[in-house]
Amino acid sequence: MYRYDPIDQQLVDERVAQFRDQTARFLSGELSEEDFRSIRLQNGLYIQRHAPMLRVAIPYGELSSRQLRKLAHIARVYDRGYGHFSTRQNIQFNWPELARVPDILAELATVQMHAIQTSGNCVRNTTIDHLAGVAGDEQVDPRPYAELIRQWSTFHPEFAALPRKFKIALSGATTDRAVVKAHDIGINIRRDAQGEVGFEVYVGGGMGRTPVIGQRIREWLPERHLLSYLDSMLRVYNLYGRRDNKFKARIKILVRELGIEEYTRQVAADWAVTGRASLSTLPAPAIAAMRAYFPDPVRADPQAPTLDELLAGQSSAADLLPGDLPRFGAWIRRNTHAHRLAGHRAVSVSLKRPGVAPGDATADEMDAIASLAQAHSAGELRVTHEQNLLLPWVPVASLPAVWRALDVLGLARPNIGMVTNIIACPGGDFCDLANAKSLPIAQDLMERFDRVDEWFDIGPLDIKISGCINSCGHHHVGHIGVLGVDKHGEEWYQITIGGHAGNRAGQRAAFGKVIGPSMSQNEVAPAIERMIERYVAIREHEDETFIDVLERTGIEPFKESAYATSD
Amino acid sequence: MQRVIDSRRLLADDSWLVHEAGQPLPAGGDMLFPLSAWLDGSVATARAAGRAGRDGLLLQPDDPLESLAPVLAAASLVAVNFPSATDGRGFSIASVLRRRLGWSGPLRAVGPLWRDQLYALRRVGFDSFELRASEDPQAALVAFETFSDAYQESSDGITPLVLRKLALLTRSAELTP
Repeated sequence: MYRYDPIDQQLVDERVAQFRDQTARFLSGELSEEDFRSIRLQNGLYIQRHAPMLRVAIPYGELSSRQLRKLAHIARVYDRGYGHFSTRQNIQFNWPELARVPDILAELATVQMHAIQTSGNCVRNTTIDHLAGVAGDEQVDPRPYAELIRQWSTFHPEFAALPRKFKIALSGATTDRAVVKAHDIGINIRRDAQGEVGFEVYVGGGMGRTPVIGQRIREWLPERHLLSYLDSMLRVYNLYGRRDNKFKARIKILVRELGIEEYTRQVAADWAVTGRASLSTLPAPAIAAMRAYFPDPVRADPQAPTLDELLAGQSSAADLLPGDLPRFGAWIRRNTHAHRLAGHRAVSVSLKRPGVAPGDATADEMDAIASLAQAHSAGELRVTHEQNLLLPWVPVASLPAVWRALDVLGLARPNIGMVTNIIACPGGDFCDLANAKSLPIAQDLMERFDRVDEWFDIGPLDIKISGCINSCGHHHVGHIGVLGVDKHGEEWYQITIGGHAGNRAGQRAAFGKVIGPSMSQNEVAPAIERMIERYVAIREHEDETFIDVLERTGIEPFKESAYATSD
Repeated sequence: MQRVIDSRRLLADDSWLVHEAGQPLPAGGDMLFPLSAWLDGSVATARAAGRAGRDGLLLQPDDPLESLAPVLAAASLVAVNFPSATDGRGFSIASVLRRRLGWSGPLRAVGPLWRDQLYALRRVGFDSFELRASEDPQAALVAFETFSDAYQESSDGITPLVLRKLALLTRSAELTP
């Protein structure tokens, strides 16, 4: 993973000093609430329902054991002993004290971390495929490009006061695990027949109030032009994006109002001058130098035991108790993922369990997971947009030990991709923007679907819950989505079905459709349970997914089940 | 008290005044005119009638940038207004002026500006800055030193850090026997 050079460290240290000075000026009354607002937002600090919320950047979701231990330390010393891993591959602390935030940022800087541009109307943390560099279906590792974009966007002087926030996502694999077309800019990294790398660039996608699938602006942008082309795309948005209405300020509205052709023409007109004379054109050696920051920390091991040998109780799995094998097998199937390097698996650490908000982890859990990554994953971890953690470099022979350790921690539920891998934003329990609570619904569903055999019977199913139209819970792309809405000051919920993130090869992302009138909190989970029962009852075979059935039958059977009364 | 910083120094005496719409064109003095006064010919007419003093252009964030080329040929200074801290259009207007339209003359940021904005304003190409009344100009001068380096290209000739690191690597490889 990327390691700071002295200049990276110096810039982050200087940022801490700057924010310390700004916070002191605010607390002494020299800076007004209004002045301080944009400053604190650019440093990840929201004023929330109970206390400030601090969002710490985890650039493109990559994290070392040492960094995770520091996050645990911050949770313990400055917060209430836990943190929340978010769909944006960041971590949020819900209870820091404003006056101590500069100290938190100074602690983060000691492990090459920060909270820069994690909120505010600026370029946010770039998100990528959580299996980057690991996935078997990858053409190009997106991490070096994500780091180039991190550096380009950090303190970019021109784009610190955009009309609205700006999110970029990258994928270099056949299967899109980064939902690139639901971002302000989405990039598929491709390699052509000559081995040259280029980008398929999408613009104007996003969830939120007006969900839009991004449109393609470039079919093939040579990699050397990445930064200068981003400059031109952002410049046109910064100049002409709407500033009169916060709900119409995202780039998707500009692209819709201008039309993709006119937006493309304006970008091209700017780029024809600024791109040609740009100092940011990246020669192949520069990209190779960046790639060198991301070596494989482990080597392929063709002699390693196979999964079949492990599951047959042979090789090092022999020390598993026979009674453990079925649970171990279920975990292997659901929570470990094919690896590019022979003899390895990527392992999901499920943060979805009853009684705990999706994505939350305690300080003790973070420490334990950091130690596991140290021992079995080259000291590296990932945060996934599904609010879980991932150990990217686990030798197959270590899987029994990793499973046992996670099982003891209660983090080995084999539910990745299953009905209880629920994505939910913090919702009205914490967030000031929310119309309604998300967490009680996630809890209710997890309790209803508590049995592992039931998950396997239902099969892959994504449930996603957002407490408001900002869509932090990605409800638009949930097979079943839940959206909190405000109805005359009361919390109500709208259910959508049929959305998906387009993460099967050849499948296009789609947004779910509303099934009918909104319902009250205690009606939501039973309605979803009835829809899932209906799905299981009417599917033609076990491999016919929820989405497949929906395509075959239409919305009616599900609508009928959702609104059926219990008698 | 003077509130204009020019080339990282507090100006003892700033000569530029804003010409208010509807007022007669003054016979002398350094004046900032809105784009409309340049486009409708009034600036040129005043000059032809013997107006002394320099003519400057005061741009608003929604002024059309396509029509600027002939104005820039005659203006002595361009000022860009920042109506509020959250309106960042002026940053890109500066980029367009410097990098697309080739404006190499003086470029001033005006509006309720304060020290925390100066570092970025300088990078995108502004060389003078009018501070809001409540800002301490001496303290503001220090803000240019907030960061010792930058990652990305803007209008100040900085090359992306990744390319400078590569140049260092290449040089050390050449020095190694």
